[in-house]
Amino acid sequence: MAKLCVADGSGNFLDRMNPLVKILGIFSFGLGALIWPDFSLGLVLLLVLFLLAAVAGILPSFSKLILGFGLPVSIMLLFIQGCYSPKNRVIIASWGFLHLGLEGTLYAAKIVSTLLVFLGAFYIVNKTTYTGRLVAALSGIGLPAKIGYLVLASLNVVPQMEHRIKVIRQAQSARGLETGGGLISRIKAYLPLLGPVVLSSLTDSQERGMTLETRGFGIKGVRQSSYVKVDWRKSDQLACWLLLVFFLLVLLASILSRTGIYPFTYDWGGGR
Amino acid sequence: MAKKEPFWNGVLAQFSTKSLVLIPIAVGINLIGGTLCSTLKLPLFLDMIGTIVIACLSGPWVAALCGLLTNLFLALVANPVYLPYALSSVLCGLVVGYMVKAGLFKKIWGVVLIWLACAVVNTVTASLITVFVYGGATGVNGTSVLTAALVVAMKNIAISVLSSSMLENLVDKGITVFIAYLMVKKIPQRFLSQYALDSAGDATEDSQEDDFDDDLDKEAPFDGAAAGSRAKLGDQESQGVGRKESGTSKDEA
Repeated sequence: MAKLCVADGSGNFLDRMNPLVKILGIFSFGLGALIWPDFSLGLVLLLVLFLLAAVAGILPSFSKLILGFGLPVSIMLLFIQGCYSPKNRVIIASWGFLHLGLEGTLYAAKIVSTLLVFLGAFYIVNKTTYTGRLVAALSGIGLPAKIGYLVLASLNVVPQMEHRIKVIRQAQSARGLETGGGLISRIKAYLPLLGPVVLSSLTDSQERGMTLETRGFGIKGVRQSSYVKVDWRKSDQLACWLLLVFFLLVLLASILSRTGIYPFTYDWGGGR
Repeated sequence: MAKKEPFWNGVLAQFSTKSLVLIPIAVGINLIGGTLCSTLKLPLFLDMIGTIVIACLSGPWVAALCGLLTNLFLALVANPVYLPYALSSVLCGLVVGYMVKAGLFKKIWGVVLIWLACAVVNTVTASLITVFVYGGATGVNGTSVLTAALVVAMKNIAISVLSSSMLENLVDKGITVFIAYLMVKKIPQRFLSQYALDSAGDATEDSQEDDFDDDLDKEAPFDGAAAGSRAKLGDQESQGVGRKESGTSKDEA
């Protein structure tokens, strides 16, 4: 939130793409990686996501997220699942009291790859989509205006509250409250901050409610118009079909290989 | 509220514009706590303070929606890992909301009960999510290390996740409920009454004083606020048109 995204549909093709298609993309990629019998598809999709991030120009922050989240969670899961999964039969390595099992390791790899695909896709969509467009597109297909308001207002409220906190903190320190220093004194300074922030926010919300009411927010049966216009291009249609076909192919292939009719994946030796 | 009506109408009645504008505020309070803990990698969440406050003000279902939105925005702002935990936020919002409705927020033992219920609900749902979605650890805070240590000791993933999550939640929800309790106590009665949830907090001398000040400020005498501070103040229309009118109509009645 610190850096407000300005993807208003003028940049590269990811910015211009309809937000609904991008959401479809998250699910198509993520569920594809989830239902595939092993971790290989997840890795491939992760590479695709890295390419997409490079196209969108957010490669540094994207790799930071993937590494910053992926490395600790891989180590954790490799340790927890790889060494202590009840499914372990084949031991592939052992150091003293630790025995690394094949099944648990495969399971950990599957989970990590699926998670990273979901997270990465979500992150790219989040960074390339202006929330106003997302909400406008969602209300276009029937999201109630009240929910749309909630999403947008919640996004606006946090910077506002941060500003308010800053003002109150300055006022308090002007009156001699110690706000800096060590952890204890900071926590002490945090408590008298809460009351004014929350109460002023509540009164603010009361005013906002009245303002909204006088502008006809609660009127039923009227179609509200939106400042933000999202159109559905031919390329969106194409991307939509591609994502659907991709997902169906993955579904078909995983069903075939899981039922053993035609194994698409290499048999690692561990039963599922 | 809505005792004789069908269940769904009662739920919808909670979503008035007054409650709706509260949700972003509560989500903001949650997000400030949540992002604070997330960036400091504290083994706490503190992302339910606003949910509990709004459960006291507007009711269980608004709190549930608030919990859902909170996790949605935590996923957007801090780390997408938080998204599946929306389920536990929603359930906690509902549980706290209904317990407040039953009048438990008025007494200290009730607040303790809310804390325990909230911690238990959160422990069970969150550890189920951690085990089945993430396979045992998320790596976002210090709890994962504790889980790993417990796994070594107990050799059972589900139980270690459950126990580390229980420890974490007991501490976390304790702080959360305590802060929320202090906040709700601080909110003036005059403000609480408009949400027509007649169980949040009891009248203290503090709020009496507040009403008194309020009366001095107004040109027209407004006995309605002092007399029926708990009563539901009509529709939004009557509020929007003016307090003076609703006050006089009450005097006539």
